[in-house]
Amino acid sequence: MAHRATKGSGADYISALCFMTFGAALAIAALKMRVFNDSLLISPGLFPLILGGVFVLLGFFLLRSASKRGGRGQASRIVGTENLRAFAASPKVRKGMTLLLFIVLYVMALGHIPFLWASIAYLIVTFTYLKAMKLHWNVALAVAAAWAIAFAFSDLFRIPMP
Amino acid sequence: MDILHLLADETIQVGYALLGALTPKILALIFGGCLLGLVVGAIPGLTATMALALLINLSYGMELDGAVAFLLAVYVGAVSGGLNAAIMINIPGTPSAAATCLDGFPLAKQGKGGLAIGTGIIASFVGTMFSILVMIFLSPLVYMIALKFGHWEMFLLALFGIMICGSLSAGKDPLKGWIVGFLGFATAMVGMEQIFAYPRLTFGFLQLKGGIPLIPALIGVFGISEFLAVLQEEVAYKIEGRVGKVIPPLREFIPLIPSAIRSGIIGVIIGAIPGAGEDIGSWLSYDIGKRRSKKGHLFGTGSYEGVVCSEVANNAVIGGAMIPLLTLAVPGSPPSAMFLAAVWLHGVRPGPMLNFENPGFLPLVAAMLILGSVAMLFWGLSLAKPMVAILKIKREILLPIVIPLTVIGAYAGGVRIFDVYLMLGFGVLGYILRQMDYPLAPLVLGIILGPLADTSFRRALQQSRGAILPLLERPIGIILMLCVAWLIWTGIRGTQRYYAEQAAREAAEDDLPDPQ
Repeated sequence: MAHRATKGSGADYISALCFMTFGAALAIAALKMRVFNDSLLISPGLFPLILGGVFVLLGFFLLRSASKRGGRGQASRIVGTENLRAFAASPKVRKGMTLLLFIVLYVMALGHIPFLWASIAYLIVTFTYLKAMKLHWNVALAVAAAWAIAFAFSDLFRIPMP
Repeated sequence: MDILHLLADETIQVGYALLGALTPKILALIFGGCLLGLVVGAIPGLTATMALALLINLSYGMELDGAVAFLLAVYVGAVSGGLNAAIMINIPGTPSAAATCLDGFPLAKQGKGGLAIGTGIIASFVGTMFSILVMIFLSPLVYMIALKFGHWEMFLLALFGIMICGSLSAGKDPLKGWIVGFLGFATAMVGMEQIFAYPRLTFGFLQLKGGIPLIPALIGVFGISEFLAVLQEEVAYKIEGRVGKVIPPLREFIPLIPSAIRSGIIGVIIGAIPGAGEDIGSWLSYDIGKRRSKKGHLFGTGSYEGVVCSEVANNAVIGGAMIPLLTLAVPGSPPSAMFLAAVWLHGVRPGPMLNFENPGFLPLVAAMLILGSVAMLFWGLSLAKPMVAILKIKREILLPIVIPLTVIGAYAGGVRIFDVYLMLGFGVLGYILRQMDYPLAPLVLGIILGPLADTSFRRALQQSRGAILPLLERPIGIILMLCVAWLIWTGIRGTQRYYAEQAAREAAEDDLPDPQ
């Protein structure tokens, strides 16, 4: 019987599959863990093994619930080329992804350049992308904010900085 | 009689802690922390948990009493600060002030925004003080019960914690809350386990041998994911009306006392439930208030009683959340999980043994909460107008500044850049879960309770030589197992009913004739 698709059922279907796969992987990893004193009861793998089973079970319940709500059909539409293209073109998604990319680049840069410079660059780029103010104000605020944070934490509160 | 002695002793100790806290340094930390909390709480999109996540790093270099004072003041300030935006722009500064919008905004439209803010601040003060009193008197009793807990009971408590947190925070679909709670348990399995020091799920990363550090994970889940979720939405708002007079006349409060007491009790109960949080307390209190009040029909049209119901309850959650945190090491709300992580860093281990290991800690917390509430009342009433002015600053200016602060917070605890990468990873995970309607509070609670659940479960089995039956005969264990079974039963039934209703609703919407 074909079920009528309800909102969010496709996402639930996909996440249920992910959790079931995760549970199975966790259980396999747990089975490979060392057994102490010939007893699984106190061995490190026992709890992860049970957790793996719980994930498979809860994932199955979610999968069944999503299927009843037409999740399977909706999930195949979600992962379809047309939908993925529309998803990637959505302004909201693009904005979220771009902001995330800026953070990733900032964090990666922190391992190589001082905190103050990395923060100034990150703030200028983010303010400009978000059209927070005019460019010269963006630069001024980014420098002031990054300097204030660096000064307050490293000099005032003696907090170790990246 | 033992109980009475214990309570009297506790009260005297709180008095001593209060007197001891009256130093310029502690007072400066309390008033400064509370002001920062109020400002962060006032900005829509920044929650109380985020306030603690951003400011936790400032406490690293402080002594224990200073760190406790500062963080609790931030907590009280941030929970209370959300009402400014809720009343003036109809967007809650924090989720805990969401119910305040319903009556606060209509009051602002009537030109009574200042009075609504004043009423909300006083209600917040009353809620916090009420919950501190309950915390002082209930905690010794809970300690006495907690001392009877064995490994099996501790395991069941951890399980019950994430099950109830999952049920309450996921709303209509507890299954999702439970899954996320167990995901937290799974996250806590990473690193050396506590019985044999055997490294699990480290994937060859040396940095993971010590486990997933709690603070970077919390900052990632609540800070980064919140930043992304808030900034990708385009929300335009304008401040409604003038603030006007702030302090309401005393006579207005007398009819509101029964509502305040009821809301305080609801807030404390919700706070004491693991991971439930301020927003649930506030909504529940508002809902019950609307049904129980003689003027319930006025709720939603600009009723001061509605503001009181919401604001007393969300602040009463603070003291309530401290009860399980201090006595069982189970945080009652996400911000209190942040506080727990901070006190761990200072070498304090809350739990049943806290009264023996750190006998002055509970009175210290109570004293700092009292002073934090006084600071909140002072700043909240005196700075109501500047707080509203902060709302005029664009979110696009304020929120990016948060990211460098989260980086410092994640880095400073362990002084490792790896922790910053972990924070980012958890931020992405939190963002994805948020987008798929999974609640985040059970994840955090799962990470905190995971080691307790794992170790207690295996030790209980070791004690009973692998036999399950002796474990099932323990009275406290039976109660906890019944609670877990009840949660599963009601959760499954509730989920089925919700999806049936959703399907029927959507079918009805689809069947409606097209107006064009």
